Amino acid sequence: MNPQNSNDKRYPNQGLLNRPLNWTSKDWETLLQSATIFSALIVLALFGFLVYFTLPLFADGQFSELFSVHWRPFHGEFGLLSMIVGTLVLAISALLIAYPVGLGICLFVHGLGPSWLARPVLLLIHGMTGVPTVVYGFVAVFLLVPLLRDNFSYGSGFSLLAASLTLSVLILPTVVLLINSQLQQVIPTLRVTAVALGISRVQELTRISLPAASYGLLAAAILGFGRAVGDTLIALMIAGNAAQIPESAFDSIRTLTAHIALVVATDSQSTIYHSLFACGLILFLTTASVNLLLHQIKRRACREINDE
Amino acid sequence: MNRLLSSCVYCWSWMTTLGISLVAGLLLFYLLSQGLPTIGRELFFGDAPIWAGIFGQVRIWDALWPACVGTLFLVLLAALMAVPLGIASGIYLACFASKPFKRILSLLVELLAGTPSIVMGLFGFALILFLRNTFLPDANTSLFLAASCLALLILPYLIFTTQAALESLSYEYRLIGPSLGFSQLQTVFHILVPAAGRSILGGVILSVGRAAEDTAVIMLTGVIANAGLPQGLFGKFEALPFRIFYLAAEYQTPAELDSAYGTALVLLSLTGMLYGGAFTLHKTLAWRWNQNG
Amino acid sequence: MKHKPFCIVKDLHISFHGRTVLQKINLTLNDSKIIVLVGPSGSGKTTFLRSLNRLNEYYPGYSGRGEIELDLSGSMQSIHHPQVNVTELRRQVGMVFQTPNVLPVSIAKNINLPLNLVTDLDKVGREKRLVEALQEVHLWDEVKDRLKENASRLSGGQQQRLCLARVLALKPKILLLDEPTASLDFKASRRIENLLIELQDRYQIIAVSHSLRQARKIAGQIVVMAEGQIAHLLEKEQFESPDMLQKLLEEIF
Repeated sequence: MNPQNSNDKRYPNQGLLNRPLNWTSKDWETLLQSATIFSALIVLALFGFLVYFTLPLFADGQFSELFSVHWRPFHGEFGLLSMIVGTLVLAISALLIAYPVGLGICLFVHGLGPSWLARPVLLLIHGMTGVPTVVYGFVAVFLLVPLLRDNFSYGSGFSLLAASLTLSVLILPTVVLLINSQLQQVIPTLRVTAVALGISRVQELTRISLPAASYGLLAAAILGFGRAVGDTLIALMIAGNAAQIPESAFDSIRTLTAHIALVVATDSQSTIYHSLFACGLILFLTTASVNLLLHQIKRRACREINDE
Repeated sequence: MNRLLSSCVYCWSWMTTLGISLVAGLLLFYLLSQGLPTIGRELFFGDAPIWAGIFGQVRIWDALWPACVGTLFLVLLAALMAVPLGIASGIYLACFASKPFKRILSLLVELLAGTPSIVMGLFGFALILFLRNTFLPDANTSLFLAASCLALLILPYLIFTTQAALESLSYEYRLIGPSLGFSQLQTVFHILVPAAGRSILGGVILSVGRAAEDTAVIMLTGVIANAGLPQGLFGKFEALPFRIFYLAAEYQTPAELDSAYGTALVLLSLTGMLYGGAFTLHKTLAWRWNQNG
Repeated sequence: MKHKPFCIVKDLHISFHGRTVLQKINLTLNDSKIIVLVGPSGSGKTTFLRSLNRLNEYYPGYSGRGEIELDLSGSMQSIHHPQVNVTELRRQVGMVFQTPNVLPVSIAKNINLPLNLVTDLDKVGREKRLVEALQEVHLWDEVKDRLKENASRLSGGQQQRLCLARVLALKPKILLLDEPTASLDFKASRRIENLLIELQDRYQIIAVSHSLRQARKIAGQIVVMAEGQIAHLLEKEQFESPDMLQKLLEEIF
């Protein structure tokens, strides 16, 4: 891939005026540009497909039925509400576990733990991002689920609780690394001031550094949530997959993602498929709004930095 | 009171760090203790003779080899499609795009990155439905389709890592080219890309790891439990992560369960190695690669 | 000595992100010995230097107006003319930066890569230029046995001279130096200063300097900048008198 060609070379004593247009150079740029536009358009194509396949539901007037609780395909009922609730409950509970834990780890890394441990702990968290989701799910099936089943003697152990615990481990690195990267930016300047003022380390972190890293705190929550909503494997393997609205943490739930996987694997009726695409569309719109929100926050944060 | 609160925060930070180290340690210990004894000829090839098995002369049942080959083909195909496109897009966004254009394009790529992998799979599945209804009534999910969808999944990571690698070069470094009279294209390909090469390669390896571990996409696009070695671009195939998922849910005998432990350990070592390789190439790890399940 | 203008700046304004860095610059520079720009930090010296090869356009938030004419091929020519080939301009107006920015490749490749890309010399011609350029900066004897070695292993002073050689190999008309000795120790700085004095007859040199001592030593003309404007234009006789120098010191620092 050598972009240069003989047209690119110039004589040393030639004037400043342009030679005839250098087409090859331009061509290369156009090539790169087309690649980028293609990459960017994929997401629109994806969105278009989802909408196209969901449209028949609108036409049939079945759209409102999507939001009923009942998923009984053999009775012609395709309510997705249980799955929507299941997705939200699972994602929020996983975030509620992962977020405080992640915050604790960040504080440990940034001064509450011994400094020689900071790097190994961060390395561990980085390493955790490399563990395949299916491996987390697998270990949870054989370690966590039996543990819950035996200790709480309630149901099969495949439950909201088991799934949210496992999912929280999965999203933990996202939370930790985002908050950490923000703290790394603000702490060097703040710490000296805080030490000079005689403020204790804990006070400095909780009263000064964390508030200064508010963008990271917010972004970590939003991104953690988005990641939890998008996960398929943990929910599919551990949450039990009963299409119902959960009443306790030991109930089995089914998420939208797991629902798609289950239905594609087992059925082949066309109405079912249309409701699947509605699932896909809901998921897509959720994660897209999460990302748009994040984008806005990032822009605001950037603008504030520029203004200073 | 304030003091009490401080102690609580202090305790919490230690407890959480200790806790997560225990969880990670337990996971590793459990997989090693259960999986290591199963590693061996039988795990990979079952009853088949090794060489005949490797080359597909003998059909292998209940063993890992077809899944290994399936994952290898899958990852290679996906990388073949996504890497040139991703790197080209990353270079364009970092070095050529005008500001408003760049904002729109980056936003779209971010949206793609945020899309759950199951939705990518659904996209592929929809494509097959669409083809069946229109001009290819025999269209079916296959290795090629799965690899294409995986390519969509890893494309944003490739773009981000390439773009970040180029943009992290200092201004002084970026000015060398122009100050010597290089055209923008020459600057990019002779000075900037070589300098960012290691980080870009790190991004490629990360995305390969991401493609190797994903299960949700291939579940909808052609993986099955007992396909044997892949029989071509448009045939069904096996893959390591799907085998773990399948065995965890459907295992019948203790031997199958053992095989599942072995598979999990093999996949973990594979992604671990890829991740380690990328880490040494690129110290500031791109945590983004694993953002969406 | 004939004094013919080689650079005319008319009403130059430059700002970044809406913050004005240079304003109302009107200046005519004549062929002379080395021209040195001095002034407190933030006075726009570097920005002015970079406006001469249009390098400012690479910085985010750049906006500028005004006119610069340079004499590069026998007559004055505007460098903002739409038909001007910017990369050719930058080859003829070479630049050396504050910190040595060698490429992390071999010493020879550092010089050969630009020669290969922006000239149409053949291999023999490139070899010749390489040797000439390295001799011109007195680096040849130090590196002739290790041309294949990575350039980043050279000392700071050697790296800076290599950067200079890299530019000289392209045969520029004008040489812009942005505090070329700022990151070097005393001895290495001395060497570069003496080198510049040697080169001043072959190239029109414009340098930014952070030290008055250095400016007095090498300059034929000093341009004093303050708050984005030209404050004084001093000829050799003026800054050699101790009184004037004292006045200058007070003004600048």
